[in-house]
Amino acid sequence: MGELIAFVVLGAIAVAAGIAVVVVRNPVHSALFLVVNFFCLAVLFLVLSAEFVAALQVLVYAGAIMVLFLFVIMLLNVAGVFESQRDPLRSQRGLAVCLGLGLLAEVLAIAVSGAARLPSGGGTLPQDFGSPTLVGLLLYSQYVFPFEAVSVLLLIAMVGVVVLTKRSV
Amino acid sequence: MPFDVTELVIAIVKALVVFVALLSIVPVLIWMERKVIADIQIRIGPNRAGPFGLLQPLADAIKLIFKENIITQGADKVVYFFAPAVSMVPAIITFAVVPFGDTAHILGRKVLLQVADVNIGILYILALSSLGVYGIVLAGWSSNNKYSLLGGVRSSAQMISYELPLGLALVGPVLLSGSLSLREMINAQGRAGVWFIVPQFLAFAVYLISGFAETNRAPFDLPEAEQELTAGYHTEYSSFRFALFYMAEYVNMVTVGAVATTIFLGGWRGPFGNIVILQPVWFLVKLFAILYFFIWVRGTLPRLRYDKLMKLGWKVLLPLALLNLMVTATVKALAPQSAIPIMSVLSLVLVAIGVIALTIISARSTRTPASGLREPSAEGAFYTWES
Amino acid sequence: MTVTDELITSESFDRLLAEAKALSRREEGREITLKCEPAEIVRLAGVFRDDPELRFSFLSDIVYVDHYGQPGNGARFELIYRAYNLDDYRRIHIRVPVPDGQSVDSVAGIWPAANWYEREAFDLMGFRFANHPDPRRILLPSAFAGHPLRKDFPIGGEEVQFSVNWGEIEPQETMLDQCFEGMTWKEYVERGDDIETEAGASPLRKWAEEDRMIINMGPQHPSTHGVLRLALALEGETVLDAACDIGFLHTGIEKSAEQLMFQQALTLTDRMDYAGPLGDNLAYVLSVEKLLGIEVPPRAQALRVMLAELTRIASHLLFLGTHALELGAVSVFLYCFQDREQILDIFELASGVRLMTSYINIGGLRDDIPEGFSAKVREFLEYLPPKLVEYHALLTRNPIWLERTRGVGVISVEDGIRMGVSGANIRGSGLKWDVRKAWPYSGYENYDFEIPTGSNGDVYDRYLVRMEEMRQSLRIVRQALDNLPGGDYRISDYKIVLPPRDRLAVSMEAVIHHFLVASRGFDVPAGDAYVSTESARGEMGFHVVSHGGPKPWRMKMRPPSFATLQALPKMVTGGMLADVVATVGSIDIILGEVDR
Repeated sequence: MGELIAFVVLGAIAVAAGIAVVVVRNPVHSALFLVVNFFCLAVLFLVLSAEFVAALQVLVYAGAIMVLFLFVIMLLNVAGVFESQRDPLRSQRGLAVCLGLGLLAEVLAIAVSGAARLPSGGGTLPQDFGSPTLVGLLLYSQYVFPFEAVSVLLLIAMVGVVVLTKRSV
Repeated sequence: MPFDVTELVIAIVKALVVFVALLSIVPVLIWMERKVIADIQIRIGPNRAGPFGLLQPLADAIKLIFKENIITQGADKVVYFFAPAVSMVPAIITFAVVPFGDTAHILGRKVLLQVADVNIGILYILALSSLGVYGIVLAGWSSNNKYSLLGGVRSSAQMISYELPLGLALVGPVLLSGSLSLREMINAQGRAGVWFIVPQFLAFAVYLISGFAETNRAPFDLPEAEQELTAGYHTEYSSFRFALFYMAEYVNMVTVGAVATTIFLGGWRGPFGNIVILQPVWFLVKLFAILYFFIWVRGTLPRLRYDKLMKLGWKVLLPLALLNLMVTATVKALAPQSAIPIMSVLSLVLVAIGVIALTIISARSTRTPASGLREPSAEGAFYTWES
Repeated sequence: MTVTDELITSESFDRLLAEAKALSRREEGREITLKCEPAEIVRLAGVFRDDPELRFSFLSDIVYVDHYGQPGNGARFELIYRAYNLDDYRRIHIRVPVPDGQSVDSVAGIWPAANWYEREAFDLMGFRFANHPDPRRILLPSAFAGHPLRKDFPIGGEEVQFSVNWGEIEPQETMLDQCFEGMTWKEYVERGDDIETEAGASPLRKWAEEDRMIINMGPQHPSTHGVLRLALALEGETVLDAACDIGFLHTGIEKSAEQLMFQQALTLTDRMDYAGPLGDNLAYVLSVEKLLGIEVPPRAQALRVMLAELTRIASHLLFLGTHALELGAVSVFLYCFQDREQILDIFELASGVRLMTSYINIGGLRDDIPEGFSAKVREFLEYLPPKLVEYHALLTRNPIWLERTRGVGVISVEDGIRMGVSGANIRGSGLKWDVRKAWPYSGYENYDFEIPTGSNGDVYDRYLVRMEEMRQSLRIVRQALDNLPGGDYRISDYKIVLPPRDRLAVSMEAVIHHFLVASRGFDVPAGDAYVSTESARGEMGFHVVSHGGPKPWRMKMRPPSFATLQALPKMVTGGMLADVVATVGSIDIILGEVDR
């Protein structure tokens, strides 16, 4: 029961914040709403006993990535630019709506089809569910290939950034 | 899980106790800082309010609260309003996972002397400390002041850069203890019979230096460098909101010190450590030793420049932290049982090399002038006085 | 020594130049005076700067005088360009008579230091300089009406324009035609702050148009040593360009001096360089004494040297403390202030005043040193050296200090000379020029001391030079104290100095002298004199013009900080924001002296 209340409340806040990210005109406010969204997700993870993922969610997304977002927004001072101008990418609006609806349909489909396969009545969790040890073991055994692939991908991205910025100087 | 009202009450009481204790450490710390700095600078320091000026922080707080609350023209009011709170809250709730004692038996119940024993304690601390930057960044941005903005930009870059070595430095002790829980780490230090400062000295040094940067303390106090940015991100703040920033800085200091105490200095362990009442005392003694070090450094060193600060973080501290991590992991993998003794020996060798190198460098540098300054007098040495 | 009274015109240019050259080769030609008509000044300046035999590369100052209503002068105004050859310490004064309303060609293209000197001459006396790169007011606000150093400028009683009587009073003249073309006075005032901001940062306007961040450091900023306003164009934290805005502390000292008797004007000099008041006392007094043609007794000379050197130490301690404070080393600041207190105690012992002493008087000192003075100074001579060692230990090898100061705020000797930089600042770049050695005064030639020089011209070298200068000053003080002559502490011409107090009871003559000197002062022969001294900040001197009578006709000072500040944008451009603070601290400016 408690979990349901938590889910409803947090879900509502998360959705509201998500909508606000898109709707609000000030980019700093948008970024802040995204942080709120991340927080709700982190707490949802906590409710699901995935403490490790929750901590990473806060640490990586809220603590590092969004700070960098804010950093860039502040440094370029885009707030004024955005507020004064009209949407520069007007032509993409239709496409964005289509893609968004597509994504929504996809998620709904997965949710509906997945719900059927869930065990009914709720089982008990193993003792060390979501613990760092378990996550680590999974990452480095079963999912070692995707894990390494992602790290290489990130490395490529980083090298690309360095190359691009150096060239422009 | 059966719902236990008593557990809830105990948890609330513990949280309240820690909260109040933390907030009362802050004035003591402020007083101590002012006294110690005054001592370093051959001044008397606060001595009017109360005995030895002990009530000075209280007087300051009262003064601040009664000041006018100024909101600058063109400020983003909502963000401006929330920024001090955003910087204060993570600073305080980080303390929830820090154990300040072992298990006490109160009224026939076992009570952990810790608000919450989370099995991901260190991650929790890192996650929250990474949030502290929001308060500063948002304060800088929302003030509609260029100095504030520069302070905010500086702090966001600085904190992101120093979080990496800070986090990586903590991985070494984690590897040695095999747990992310702070309580478990203290127990591991007890089992090993040696504080982790010995096998993980490099990590301790990196952690402490990064801690200076994370808490915006001198010599890394660039976000609020008075002489450059007037007051940095809190230039426009006044009254209680300023007080919140001021307190958050000290609470952060306490937190960084407490984590260092727990992970590297054996936490509440000490002589007669099995007496429960002594455990918080030992914890406080070690904590204040580290805080004293913080203050001492502030009274001694000039401030770094922004680009040098970045260089230090990325080119010195991060590689050092990575090196420490690699060596520790290797040792741990090769000799899981005797990892701590081996690392201790390596640490001692490292410290010895460092001391010798420093001695040589300082001996050399007193022989030759550091600049191309032409010898100004026939006697040569411009840095000593011959009577 | 004047080459000839003949005016250099386009016809006589070559002939008189050859004469000047011939004279400058001789020993008595170390200091020569020329007269030149306005049209030829740029040509003459170019020759004097570039001719390999002359090489007068350093423009010390441009003195501007209004001879309003004085007989015997052809033109109402006069400009005196004072330039130095710093290879063998020769000086030249080029006097240019300027009739009312005539514009003069700017020499800023020859000597870049002239930029601010000419702006000042325009601002305060209304000279028009043709082809000036930046024809704006400098000390007074852009909206100021008139040029206050003109003798016909009303000095009291005139109504001031406030918002209540705005329409009733017409401002006499404004500079708007020059500064803001096409803007009326009313528009100017209505736009107020905006236009001032733009004007102060006008060299930065192009950056503002490129959307770079323009940040105003000061006039209320903890690290600008007073009310200096620095407008900086920033890219991130890198300084793209900088512009100084000064004059916030302008109190019209030069104008005030014209209303006071010579001995009263002395008190104004204390207020300029408030970190080293005795140095300014000395500079002023020397010029007046040169006009009077008097020589002070040896005891007074030695005491003056001692006090001037103590002042230099006090000033350098202030520099060290504030400089370290600005780089974040707060403790050093308090240590230095503690040491400085000892010197102020010595001043208090001698004069009864800690800061604005006015102790060095025309004709000697105001009083003889009291009992216990020597012991106190000796105590200080023992006290300071270990402290200096301590500061070296705290800072000189400190890696953070080295990182913050080395290679920061660099200025080369050539640039420094072009911009008029003097004192420890140019010595930090490597030029071994100290007025105490180049043109000794007050018997400095009798003392044994070294001139420390740096080589990189960065903040660190300027810091080291000043650290060493303190040590050298201690040496001088020790020598002065050891060889302190007996005798009188001032001249005994009671037409110039007050007669001793005890004589008043017994001598009617003394009473008359006392009354005359105190109430109407003493006449100073007509003429002008300039004596340059080495103050703690650089070449300091007063160009005193007298037309007879007890009051100075004109007192033009050469504040070293003013010229040094002009070079600041060059030093900070390309550095970082934090370097600006380090550089401003390292050039050791005093805004009271810049703005006076």
